[in-house]
Amino acid sequence: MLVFVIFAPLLAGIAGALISSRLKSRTLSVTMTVLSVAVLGASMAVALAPYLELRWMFLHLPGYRVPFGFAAGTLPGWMAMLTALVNVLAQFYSLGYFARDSRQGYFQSVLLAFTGSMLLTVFASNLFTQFVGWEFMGIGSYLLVGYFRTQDNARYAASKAMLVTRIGDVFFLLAVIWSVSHGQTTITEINHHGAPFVAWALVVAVAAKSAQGPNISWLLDAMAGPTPASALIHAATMVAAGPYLLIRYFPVLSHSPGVLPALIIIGGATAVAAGVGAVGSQEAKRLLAFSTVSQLGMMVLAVGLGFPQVAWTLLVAHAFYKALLFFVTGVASHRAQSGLLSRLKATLGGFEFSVLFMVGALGVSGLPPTGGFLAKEALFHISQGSLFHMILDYTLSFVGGAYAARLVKSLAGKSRAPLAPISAWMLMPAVLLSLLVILNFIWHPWVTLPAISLLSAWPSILLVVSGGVAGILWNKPFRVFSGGLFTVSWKILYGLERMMMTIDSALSEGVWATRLAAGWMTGLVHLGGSGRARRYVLISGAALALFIIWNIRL
Amino acid sequence: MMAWLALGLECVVMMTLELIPVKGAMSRWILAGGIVLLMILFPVAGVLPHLYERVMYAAPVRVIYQELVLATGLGLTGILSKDGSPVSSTLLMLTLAGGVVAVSANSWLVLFLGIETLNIGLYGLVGHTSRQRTGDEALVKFFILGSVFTAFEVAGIALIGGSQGTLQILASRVPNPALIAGLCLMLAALLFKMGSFPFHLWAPDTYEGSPWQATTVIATLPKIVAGSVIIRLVATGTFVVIPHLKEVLEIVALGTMVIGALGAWRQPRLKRMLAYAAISQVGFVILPLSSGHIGAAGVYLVSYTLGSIAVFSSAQALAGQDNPTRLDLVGALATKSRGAAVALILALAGFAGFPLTVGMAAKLYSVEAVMREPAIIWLGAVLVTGFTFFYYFRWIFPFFAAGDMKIPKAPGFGVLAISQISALLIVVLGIWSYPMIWLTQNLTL
Amino acid sequence: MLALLIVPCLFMIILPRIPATWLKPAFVTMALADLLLALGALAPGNVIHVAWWPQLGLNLSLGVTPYNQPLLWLNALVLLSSAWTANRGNAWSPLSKGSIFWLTVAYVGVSLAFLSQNVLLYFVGFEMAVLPFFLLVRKDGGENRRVAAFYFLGFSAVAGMMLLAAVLTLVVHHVTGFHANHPVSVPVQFVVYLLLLATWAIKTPLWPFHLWLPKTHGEASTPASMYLSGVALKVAPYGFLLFSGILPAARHQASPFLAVWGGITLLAGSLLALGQRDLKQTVAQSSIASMGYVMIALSLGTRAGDQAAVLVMVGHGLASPLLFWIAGQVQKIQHSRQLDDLPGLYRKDPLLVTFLTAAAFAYMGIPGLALFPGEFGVILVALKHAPLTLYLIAPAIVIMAATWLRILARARFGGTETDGSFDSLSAVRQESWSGLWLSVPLVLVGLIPEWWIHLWRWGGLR
Repeated sequence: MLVFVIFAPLLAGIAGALISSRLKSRTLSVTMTVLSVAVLGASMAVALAPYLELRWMFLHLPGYRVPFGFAAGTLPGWMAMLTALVNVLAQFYSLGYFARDSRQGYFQSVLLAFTGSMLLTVFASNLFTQFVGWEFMGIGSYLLVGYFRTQDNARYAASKAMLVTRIGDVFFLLAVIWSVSHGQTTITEINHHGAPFVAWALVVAVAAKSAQGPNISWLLDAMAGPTPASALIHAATMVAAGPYLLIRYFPVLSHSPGVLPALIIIGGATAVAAGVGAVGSQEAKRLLAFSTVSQLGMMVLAVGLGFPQVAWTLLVAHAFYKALLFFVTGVASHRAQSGLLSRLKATLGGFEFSVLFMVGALGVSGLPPTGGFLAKEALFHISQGSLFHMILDYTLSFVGGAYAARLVKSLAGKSRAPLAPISAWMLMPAVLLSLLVILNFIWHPWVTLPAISLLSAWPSILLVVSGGVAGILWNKPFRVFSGGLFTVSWKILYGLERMMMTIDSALSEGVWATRLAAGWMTGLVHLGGSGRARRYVLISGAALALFIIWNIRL
Repeated sequence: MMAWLALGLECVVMMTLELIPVKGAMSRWILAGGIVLLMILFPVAGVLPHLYERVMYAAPVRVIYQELVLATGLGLTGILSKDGSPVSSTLLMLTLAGGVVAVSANSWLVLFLGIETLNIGLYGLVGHTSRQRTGDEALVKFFILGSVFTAFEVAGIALIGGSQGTLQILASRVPNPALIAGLCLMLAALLFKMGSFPFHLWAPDTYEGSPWQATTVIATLPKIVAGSVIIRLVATGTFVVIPHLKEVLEIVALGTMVIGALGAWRQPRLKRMLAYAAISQVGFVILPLSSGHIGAAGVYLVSYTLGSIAVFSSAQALAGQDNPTRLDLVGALATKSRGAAVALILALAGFAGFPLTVGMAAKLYSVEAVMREPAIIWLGAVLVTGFTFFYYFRWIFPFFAAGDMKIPKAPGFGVLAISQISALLIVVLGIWSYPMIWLTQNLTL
Repeated sequence: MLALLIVPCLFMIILPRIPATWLKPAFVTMALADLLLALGALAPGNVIHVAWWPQLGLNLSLGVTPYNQPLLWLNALVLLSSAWTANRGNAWSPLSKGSIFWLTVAYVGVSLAFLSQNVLLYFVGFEMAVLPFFLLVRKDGGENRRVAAFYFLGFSAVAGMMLLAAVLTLVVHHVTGFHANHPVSVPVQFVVYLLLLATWAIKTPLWPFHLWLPKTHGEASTPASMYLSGVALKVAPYGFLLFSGILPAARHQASPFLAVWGGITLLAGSLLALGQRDLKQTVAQSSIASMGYVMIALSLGTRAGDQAAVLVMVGHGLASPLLFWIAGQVQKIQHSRQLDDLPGLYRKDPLLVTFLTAAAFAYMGIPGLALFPGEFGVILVALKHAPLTLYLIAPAIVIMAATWLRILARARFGGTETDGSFDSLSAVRQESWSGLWLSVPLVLVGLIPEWWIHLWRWGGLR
């Protein structure tokens, strides 16, 4: 069962993507959808099953063992279920979203393969295996973000996403190398004996993959991809893999000096900055991307504060409401044929807006009755005792309310004209997710949270509401994170490369100079060899005389 | 004794044939038959009475040199062109007789005699086959330089004879200025015959001016003879009294290689390129001699002979009387004289030391012989070897380029046969190592 | 084992008699036969020893070892795929008797070098590949092939002669085999090592002795490029591996210096690859980077390092011919290899772009493709023995990714949905299936390296 869950989506997805041009697109997409459902079922079965383990050797060099390893447990089980669920919903959604697209089958295959690589990372029982899944996810995101191949921004975004995450991957690779060369081939071993180096490398890797710190801009640009892909990337794979990894490796992070404070700084700063950025954005998907980064920052913050359980709660809650928001906003932009907030006004029907969208908005801003509220409260709970952390939390609540309100404000309104009908495939996932967001208010997988009373939560609710008011009033767009850092890095790289090319051409000149010198000498020889007999006799005679004198004298 | 008589008789026969009108082909067949007979006779009946030991070399190793010279002569028989008169056959026979005498001389005077006979034959050949002004120029240059060095020889023999009291070739160990000067003069004369630096200047002009047949003879026979004589003299220790013999030989070898290689590079005409290439090759014969490695020099000499016969005969087959540029050779593989083109490729590859040719083994022998010397010697040698690739490969290339080539005239049977056989031998001896190993073992005895 | 050499030799002998229409089938059959022979008949431990030129120290001693076995397999496979690529009437992938003949000669030489257990025999094999490639480069290909051939020949000649000097020094000191039983004295070791280093630096190539490689590849025809980079490039690093065994002291001394040099090569190669505007040049420069990995691994002198190096060689031997083949196909489709002409390629030949993507990912070091196990191994070993190189490797990985993403961003994107039909390309598209020859092994080696290692019996080495 474990083998099926890990490899079936990956292999089927890759195979589907490869043969997509030879198959009827719809057939393929339906196959992928059915497979996704099967994977969801199987992952449930795995979560219920007793402990399962899988292990074989990938590479064995003298003195080094590099095994592949998988183990099912509670946390992986839940995470896998979450991933599989969001995947199924995204597959459903694409059935409607791409209904008239000839590359639907290809898209859904890649989506499934992408999920498969996330599952690989989720179930992996050692760092190396996680790295493999992590890399596959990078490729998957590259293919998904770059789906619209004729669009320049998709091309740019896909390359940038791959490149920025690649920087993190190098650090991940170094962590893997370190652990393998020290014979630590399971997560437990790394957690017990891992060096600070591994912890730091993981932090960098996660920061790149989860768009933390200076790496935000790739995720913002990645909005060039299709909506279902964005939903999957933001909710339960790729970027969510970062916090998941931090949760799995929490022991080694907490052993290593300086890592947790660093996480607080990275997570907190990113969360606030991205929240502010969300308020200023003009596009729905960009706003959502900012909000994702902000929420991911909060997860990192929670880990940094020493409470991976809280991060996990937030991860699950975020998965539900962010996927929901993407799906619903996707419907709106589908109708408006645009992603600009100013064009989205009154593009949702009554039910869609009031039930589906509002639930998501409540969740993202952290208001009851949603899982988001609980997760945020848990964050408040663990921050108590430190003024700085409390201020951070309050800022986040305020900003969260602001951008949620801004989104709500843009979408609100009743349309005069009848709205274009939307496929049931596109609505059904949203309905399911809104139920889950509510359900999440009373049920949390894996962790038990501290009891939170609604009454004691008044400061945060107040802040959210005031933030909401501010968000409604604020109208001026502004930009945070223009991606300038990336451009500058590229310029530096380009300069280095120019330098190497210059050295190269100088070397070429050197070779040419050698050749010229040889040619000159050749000319000399040719000159000596074409003349009169008199000269030949003279030269020969002189040489002979020298020869004799040299030998007789000594 | 029989062999020597036969040698003289063969010369007389060839000369007599001039008096009665006989076809060129017939005279060449007679010449070839005679050479074959001589080759059989020299090993079995080449021993001279005891009396002659003062003038003729008696050690069994002489047979190797004699056979080498005769075999080269046999090869050259095929080279003489179809329309050549019987005169060229006679001249070749004279050259050959001189060569055989020279390599088996045990007296400086006999050596002189042999070399001069050889020279006369060569002058005759060049002059006889010359059809143009450049040919005459070639002859004049060759003749003048040759005469000058003949004079050196005479002087050298006089000095040696005077200081030794005898004209016998001896391994003298008394350093006497007159003796040293005489030996130096003789060595220089021999090096001149081999066309090595710094006495190489005549070679390119002479090669280029003479027609292919004469060029082939000049490029092979005198070098074989002089090379054999030098090898023999070094082996018997005749030159040991020269104080800087080692250094001299090293300088000469390296200089020859470098000058030849540089000169051959970027030569537009095939013949001049080959002239310089031949100069460069000679350096590798002299190189092992500097460290007294007789076997290596012998192997290289044999390989050089084979290679140059193959190169010149196949070039003649391809070019007729012309001196082609590289462009003229483009597409030669697609013409009727494909065989000659393949032979030329193989021969050039052999000269370059391409694996599985005898040239490679010979180069390895030659360089390996000096590996214990200072680094500059062997490094210089290997670097020159690398440099030679430039011109050899540069000349191999046109054969594979696309194009159509016009063969001036269908090559003669003899030329074609010789080029094929020698090219085949280059490969066979490159793979079948026994003959060369036998040679190295027996030369050093 | 001898049949491996005899089959191509027989083929060369009958080559002039083969009619033109049967040329390609015959060539492919020969390559296939050799591949099957290599796969079926080679087992580590096979040894042949025949006295050839004993006085020279040159004997025909051949042997299959766990290290050369994968390279021999690769050799036959790459020859097969190059043979498959050759086509009549195209300057970039010519099919003439001359080209086939010289490619076969090169193949025999390379096989000889891989099989040799004698220092001089290795040199013979090494040298045998020089003339063929000179002619192949000089004969077919781009406009500047004259200069390219000149560069190739010049650098190869110097390298070959340094090798000759080194080998002869060894022979003079009575070392003819690759067994470390009687190592020569330390000063001699250093002399030999220095000479060999010059050889490897040029032929591997290491920066800054790499100039000939991009020039040669830029102008060479597709099959020649494929074979040259796929296998012939591995002769030098394999030689490094062989010779290092008999020069333990020198190797030990040079190790840190060489590791850093390898790292510099890696970084320089990646940067240079990034700077190219031509697809084929990019591949060529990336090869330099890959050779940097090989050199790092080999310099360390550990068994793990050696094995990782062979793994990189195998991976690179699969990926780079594939990319050169792709460059050849791109040339056919777009009549240009400039990166700026790539956009919209996916529309003209989707299959080709799939292969390009796979190969590019392989170069980027994505798991599951053949370069990853080797590069992973190299970094693994480097961390323990030469941690300094990690500072060079890490940026190189990112730069390599940038290089290939830049190409993919053009090949996979662009164009418009309404572009016309490409019926005229159907012949070229049909050819694209031949990318499977190399891409299937590319994936297989990447996915299950352990299985291959088991086949090559690396476990029971020495």
